[in-house]
Amino acid sequence: MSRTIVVTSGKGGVGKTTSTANLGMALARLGRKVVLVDADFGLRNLDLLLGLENRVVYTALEVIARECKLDQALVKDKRQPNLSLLAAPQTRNKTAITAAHMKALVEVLSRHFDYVLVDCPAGIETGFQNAIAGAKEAIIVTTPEISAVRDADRVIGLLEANRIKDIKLILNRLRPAMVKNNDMMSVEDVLEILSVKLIGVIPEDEQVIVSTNKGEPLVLAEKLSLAGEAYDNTAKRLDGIEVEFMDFTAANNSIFARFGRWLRGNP
Amino acid sequence: MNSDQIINDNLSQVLDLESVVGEDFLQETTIQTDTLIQVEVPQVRFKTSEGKLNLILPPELEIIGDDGSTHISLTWNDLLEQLQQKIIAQADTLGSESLIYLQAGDRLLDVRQIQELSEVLQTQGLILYSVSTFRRQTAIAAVTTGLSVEQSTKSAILSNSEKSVTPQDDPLYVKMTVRSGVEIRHNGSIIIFGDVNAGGEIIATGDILVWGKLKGIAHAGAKGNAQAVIMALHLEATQIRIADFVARVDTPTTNFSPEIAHVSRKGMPSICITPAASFSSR
Repeated sequence: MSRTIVVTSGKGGVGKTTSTANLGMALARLGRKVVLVDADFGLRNLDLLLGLENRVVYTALEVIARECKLDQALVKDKRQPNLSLLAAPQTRNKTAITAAHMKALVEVLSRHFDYVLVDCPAGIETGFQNAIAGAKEAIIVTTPEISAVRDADRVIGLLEANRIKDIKLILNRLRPAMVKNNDMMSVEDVLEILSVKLIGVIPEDEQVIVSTNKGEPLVLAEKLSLAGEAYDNTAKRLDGIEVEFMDFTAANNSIFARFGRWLRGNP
Repeated sequence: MNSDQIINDNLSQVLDLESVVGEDFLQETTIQTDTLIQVEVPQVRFKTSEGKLNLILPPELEIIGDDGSTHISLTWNDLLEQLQQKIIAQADTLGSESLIYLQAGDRLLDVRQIQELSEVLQTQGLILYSVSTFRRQTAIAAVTTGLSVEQSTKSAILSNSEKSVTPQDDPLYVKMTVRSGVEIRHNGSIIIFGDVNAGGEIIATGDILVWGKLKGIAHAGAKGNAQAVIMALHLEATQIRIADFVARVDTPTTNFSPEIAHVSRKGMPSICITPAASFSSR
């Protein structure tokens, strides 16, 4: 049973693309056939994060215009053959396609893959409407900031109005120390407002920037960073495996705790 | 309207509020009810009359902007979104397998649009049964879709709708979390079973009762009824409006006890918040 999931947030810069890339890669490593669709027409990024930029020949636009076949446009990741990417055109803007095109495209992809993850552009205009057109489920990415949460709330409302009822939440860039000092919204604060199912909490981690610049998703690292591990766990939960939420308190991240986890075969 | 013109009001300040608010200050805070009504976004609504469940589509209004550009007040997609939200929120009242009588009014609908409406209604088990319209093209489209059609003249319905505007409609019962960007507007009282998140708006010509947290904006007695009240299990509203009065809840109380916002007539009229327990014994 194939699942079509749109990754969206409303607000920009909260980690939609990073989350899409890492979830996609982690799911592929779990043995699922995954295709990532960049729906951010005109501002494509997903290929960069995956380090696949120089391998993109055709984009979704050429597929829709019937200038190439779908499988020609799919870029297969050499590190993880279960993962494919359908890039967005960089030269056009959001009006280049319609919701009907997107729906048809996602429909075809879902016949060949276990997971179709659609990376949605920021905002709630045409690009958003197109991106959600074929999706059955949604993952909301938000950060513990009032503006991001407000926008997430709005987007959840819009998704519900567009008949997407299965909505899950990733809380990104959490700083446990700030939460402890009451300087940041906690996981509970965010959940209280949004009241959707939480599937991942990703701590703020410098490694995210490193991985973005290298074009290598966090979950590919030999020794998983804290954020990488959190993404890996999130992907497992998405796939239906029960994983306990990590405890991000400072003590847990000390050298000794890490060593302890490593000893238990859980880096 | 800037925040300086707004009366600060919370439970701890209720007692000394009247002494704080001067006469000229209050005049400034009074906003014209008309201006609040004029920004109205047309809404899709359900109405039962003579045992029939009517779905009333708002007319397509062209709004002319300051720069002379025109745009449509409610696009087809907005309308479908609104409808989807309404049927989920009002699922309990609408029942399942109810027959829906579509009142399309002056709106032009094509076959595809009628099918889309029908599909949306079907998601909650509602059945589009008949279409009533002023427009010949819409009637033809409805016949093509295999629905029963009633083509009426404008005057008949207009006199009908005028009648329904003045007295209040039945209370609107809504079972959902009202999220940011959602506006619920009703000619009558509104009951929300769920939270009203910041950014959501509830506007009623009657009372507003929120069985949950009220964090958004609530406007009761929107057509000038200062007797209207706003009740919530937890009142943390961004702004409270009753008739012409506006109040801002500065620092919400931390106790989770039900509260009632009403216009106090003692001294200068202003909005006060009273714990529900002591409201009736006032």
